[in-house]
Amino acid sequence: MDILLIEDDAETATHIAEGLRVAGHALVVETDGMDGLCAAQARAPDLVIVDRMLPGIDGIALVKALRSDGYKAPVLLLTALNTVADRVEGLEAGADDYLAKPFSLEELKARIHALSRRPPLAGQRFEIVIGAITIDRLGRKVMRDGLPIELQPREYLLLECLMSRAGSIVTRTMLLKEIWGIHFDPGTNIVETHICRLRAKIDRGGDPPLIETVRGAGYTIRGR
Amino acid sequence: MGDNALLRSTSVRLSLVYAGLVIASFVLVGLVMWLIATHAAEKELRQHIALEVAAIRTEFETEGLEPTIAAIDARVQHPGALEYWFATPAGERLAGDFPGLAGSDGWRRMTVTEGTAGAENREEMLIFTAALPGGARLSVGDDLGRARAVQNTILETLALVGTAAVLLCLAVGLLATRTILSRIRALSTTFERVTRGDITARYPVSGSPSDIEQIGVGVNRMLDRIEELVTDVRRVSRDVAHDLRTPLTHLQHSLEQARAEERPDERSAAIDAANQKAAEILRIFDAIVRLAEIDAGTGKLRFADVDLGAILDRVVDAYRPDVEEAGHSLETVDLWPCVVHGDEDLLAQAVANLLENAMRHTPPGTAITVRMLPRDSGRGFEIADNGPGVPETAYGAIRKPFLRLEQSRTTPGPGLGLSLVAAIARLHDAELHLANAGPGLSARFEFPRKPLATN
Repeated sequence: MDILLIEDDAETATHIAEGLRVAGHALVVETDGMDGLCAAQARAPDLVIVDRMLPGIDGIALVKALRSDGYKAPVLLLTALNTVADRVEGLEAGADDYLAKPFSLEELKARIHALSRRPPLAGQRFEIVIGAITIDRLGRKVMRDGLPIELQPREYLLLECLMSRAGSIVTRTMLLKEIWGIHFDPGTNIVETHICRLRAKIDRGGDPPLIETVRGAGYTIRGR
Repeated sequence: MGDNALLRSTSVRLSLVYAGLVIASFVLVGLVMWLIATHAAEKELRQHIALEVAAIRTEFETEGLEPTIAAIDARVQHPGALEYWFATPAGERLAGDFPGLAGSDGWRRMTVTEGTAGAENREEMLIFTAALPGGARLSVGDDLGRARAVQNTILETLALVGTAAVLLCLAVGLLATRTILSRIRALSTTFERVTRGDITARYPVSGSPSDIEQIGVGVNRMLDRIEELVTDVRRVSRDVAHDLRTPLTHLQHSLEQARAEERPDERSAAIDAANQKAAEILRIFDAIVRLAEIDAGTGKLRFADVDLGAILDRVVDAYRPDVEEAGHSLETVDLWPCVVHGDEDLLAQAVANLLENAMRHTPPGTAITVRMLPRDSGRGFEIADNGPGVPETAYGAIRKPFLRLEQSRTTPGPGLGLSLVAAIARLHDAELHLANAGPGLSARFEFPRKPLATN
C-alpha cells in the first residue's frame, strides 16, 4: 500500500517507516505539516498517517484540509494525547481511526489492515466457512462439521469478528471496542480469557486451534 | 509608615468626607434657620409697631391731642420702649424723642448710625408712619437688633454643635481606621507568608462580625482547601513515583533477563513480560490523564442518554471469565434498561474499575454481586463483595488517587481505580457511597433522584 506518514519526531518516524516497509508498504515520510499536506495533495496516497501535533499545521487542521479537498482514502491519526475529547475531536475532523502513543507496531499494522479493508459491509457474506467451522450470520449460528455449537451472544460476536477478517490480525483493543464497547485498557486479561473459553468451545482435540495468538498484537484466523 | 498608611487608608478618606458632609449640612441648616428666625423676628416687630400705632390712634380719636402727647411721652420713658416721633403737619415736635423717624407714610426701613465717629454702630430700623386725623403724623419704629441677637445665638449654637460633630466624626473615623487597618495588616501578613511558601499561615480570627473578619474567615477556608490540594499533589507525585518505580524496576529486570537468556522461548517470554510491564506503566499514565480530564469537567460535552443496564451487562460480560478464572463468583441481579444522562465510556470504566477492585482486593472464593437499584428507588448500581471489606474509617481515604490500604499494598495495581470512579461520579452529579456489606465492601453509584436539565 502507498502510505504517507507525517510525523515530526524522527525516531518515531523511522521506527514506523521501517516496520511498515518490512510489512510490504511503500512509505513516504514528511516531518512538517504543510509539506505533509502538499505531499498528500500531490501524491494521493492510499492511506495517510498523521501525527496530532506537527510543526507548520497541526494534525487536526491537516485532516480537515484534506477532507475538504475531497480526499477520500483513510486517515489514521497518531497522538500523545489520549483523552476522550481528543479522540472525538480527531474523529470529527475526518480521521478514520485514532491511535494513542505509544503503540506497538503490530497494533498499527492491524489498524492499517483494518482500514484498508473498509468499508466492512462491502462483500459481506451471510455464511463464512473456515476449516470445519461454519457461521451463519443471519441466524447467528455456529456449526462444526454440520453440528451446532452453543455460544453465548458475545462469544458469537467474537468469533464472527475474527472470521470475517480471516487472514488479518485483530488486536485486543479492536476487540474490546467492537465486542464490549470498552475504550480503555482494562488492567486484566479479559480478552485472553474470552478467547480461551471460545477456543474450548470451537476447537476439537487434536486439531490445530482455529484462532491463533499473534504475540504482542492480537489474534488471527488463517485462510478461508 | 503607619501615618502614611493611615492617610492612604480608605476609611480615613471616608471619615474626612463624612466630616465635610457634616459641615456642609450644618451650614445649610444654619442658613435656613437664620432666614426663618429673621423673618419671624421682623414679623413680630411689625405686629408690635402696628398695634402701638393703632393704640395711639384710638387714644387720639377718643381723648384728643393733649392726652395723646402725654401718653406718648410716658411710653418713651418706659424702658425697652419703641422709638416715637409725633409731629405737626409742618414737622414740629409734639411728642417723642426721635426726629429721624419722620418720613413718608407706611412701612420703611432705615439705617441709622449711632455713637461717635470711629465707634459707629450701624442699626437697621423698621418704621411705620401714619397721618392722624387733623394732619398730625405719628412715626413708630424700632431697630432690628433683637432679631440679629436671635440670629447670632443660632449661628453660635450651630457652630458649636457642628465643630463637636466634626471632631467626633474624625475621632470615630480614626479609631475605626486603626482597627480596620490592624485587621487588614493581619490579612496582608497572612498573604505574604503564604506567598513566601508557608501554606499553613492563617488569618488570626478575632470573632468580631465585621466584613474584614468575614473575608479573613473566607480566606482561611480557601487556604485550607489549597493546603489540602497541595498536600494531595505532593502525596500523588510521591505515590506516582513509588507506583511507577516498581513496574519500571520490573521492566528493567525483564529486559536484563531477556538479554541474558540464551533459549529463544525463554527470551521471548521475558520480552513478553517486559511488554506487559510497559503496558501497566502506560495504564497508570492513562488513568492519571483521565482523572485530570474528568476533574477538569470537559467530559460533559459527550453526555448523552445511555442505557445503564446495557452498559452493566456488557462490562460484566467482559469481565465474567476473568473474575471466574480468579476463583470468584460473579452474579448480576435486577438489570433493567435504565436511561441515564452520561458518558457511556466513562460509566463503563466506572463499572470496570469497581469490578477490578472487588476482584483484586479479595481472596479467591469471594462472591461479587452487581445489582441495579430497583426502578422505584432511584437510578444507579451497586457492586458488592463478601470479602474482608475495608475499615469504615478508610472510606474517605481510598477515594483519593494512589492511596491503597497497607494491607492491599501487596496486591497489584495502582490505587487509581476508586478515585477514578469517584471522579466519574462527580462528573455525573452522582454519589459514590461506600458501605459495609457485612461482610465485605459495597460500592453504590447513585444518580441524582431528579434528572438534571439536559439541554
